[in-house]
Amino acid sequence: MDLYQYTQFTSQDAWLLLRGIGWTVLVFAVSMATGIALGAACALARHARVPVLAQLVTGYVELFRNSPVLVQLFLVYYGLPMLAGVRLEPLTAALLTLSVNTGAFMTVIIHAALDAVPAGQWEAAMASGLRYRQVMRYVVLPQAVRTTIPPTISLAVGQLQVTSLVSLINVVDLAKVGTILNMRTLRPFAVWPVVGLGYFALSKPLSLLAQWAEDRLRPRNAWMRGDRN
Amino acid sequence: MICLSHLHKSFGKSEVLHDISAEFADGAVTAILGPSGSGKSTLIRCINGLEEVTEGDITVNGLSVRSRRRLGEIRRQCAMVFQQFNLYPHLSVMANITLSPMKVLRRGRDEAEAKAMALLQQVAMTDKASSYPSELSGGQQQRVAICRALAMEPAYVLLDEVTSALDPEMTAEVLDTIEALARAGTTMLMVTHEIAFAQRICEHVAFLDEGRLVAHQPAASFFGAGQDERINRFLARMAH
Repeated sequence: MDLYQYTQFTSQDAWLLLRGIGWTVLVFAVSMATGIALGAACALARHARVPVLAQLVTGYVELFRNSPVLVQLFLVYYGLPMLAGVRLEPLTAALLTLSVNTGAFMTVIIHAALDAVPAGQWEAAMASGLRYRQVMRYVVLPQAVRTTIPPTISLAVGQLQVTSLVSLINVVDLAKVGTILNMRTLRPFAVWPVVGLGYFALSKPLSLLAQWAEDRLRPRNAWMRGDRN
Repeated sequence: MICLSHLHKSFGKSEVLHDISAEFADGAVTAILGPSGSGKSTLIRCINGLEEVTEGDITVNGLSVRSRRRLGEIRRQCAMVFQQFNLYPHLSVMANITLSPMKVLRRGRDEAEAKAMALLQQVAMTDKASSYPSELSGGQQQRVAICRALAMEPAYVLLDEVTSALDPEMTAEVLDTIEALARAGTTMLMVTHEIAFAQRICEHVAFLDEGRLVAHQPAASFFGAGQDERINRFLARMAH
């Protein structure tokens, strides 16, 4: 039996890497989308000062923003079975944890954007008889959404790199493929740069998008440019 | 009629309005004058509920501002124009004016837009209907803000130092608009520093000093001689 042949790279490995990228993209996209939706709901609850919900949201946000994603992943994947008898698949645990984690950061981004809309907008809208929900829908949210775009894309760039941590709970993403190849070929200086390149190829377009968004969304709100008076 | 009854307003420990009682009848134009910090803006902001009354009551046509349910109705009857215009920057001039009539008064789009155009015609700005606030000068924005207020067909128009953020050139065009409103019989409460203007178009004057209503009388007698010392000093200062 020739063990030597297994320590070489083969064309199968390229395919492995591609599949790893596929899973990375999936985990990223789903957790980002869910996180944004979750963050929006929480930000609105906090902004509207819904009695119990607002405090719960604050607790949730503080917890998930101030602890390592690694710890969160381990708690969900290894801890839940022990605590609650719930055993999740690696992918499910990964998606759940990253969605909740992203949601915490998105809550802050969206809440800040809502607060950034000047009080005068609220006053004018409410003074004319519009109700809270109407003010949000027609006056405040349209203005706030613009403000959320640059920080959200920045967050996305970071969260993309963070997905690499799910390799530690047995999700076969790009980082995990790297680990597998490395263990087999024992050539870290061949494997990891390629893996790094993979992440770079995914991340750079996002960074460019962030730059474009910042430039395009040059404040069209008069109050951000300073008055034209 | 707007009735203030022993109105007190405090921000935390600091009392900004002290025991104010007054009646503002329909059809009259009242100037609310006083030194800076005397509580003038706070007073009219209490009327439409932008500030919460600490003690006492305000009734607008019998509706009390202390009742949450009635506040919506009060706001429909009182329209406010702000010092900083507060136009919605993401909406066109037309959309700014028609938003509340459509969503609060439930007017149809055509009806609201027709009314908006009629108002824009009165301020000679029909060509700006599709423009955005950022494309307009301060004076133009304020005139749009006045149209936006009038589109609600309010019983009362509350004006909070609407020319203070404008330079003299643009102040004139806005004052002309307000004067036209006054001549048309609109009931207005006007917080202003434009003493000469107030003297020209206002029928009544309410004078506040340090949160107290020092005088509330017809304009003719207010601007006459032999008044309260505080009023004389104020008028003398403003004459510069």
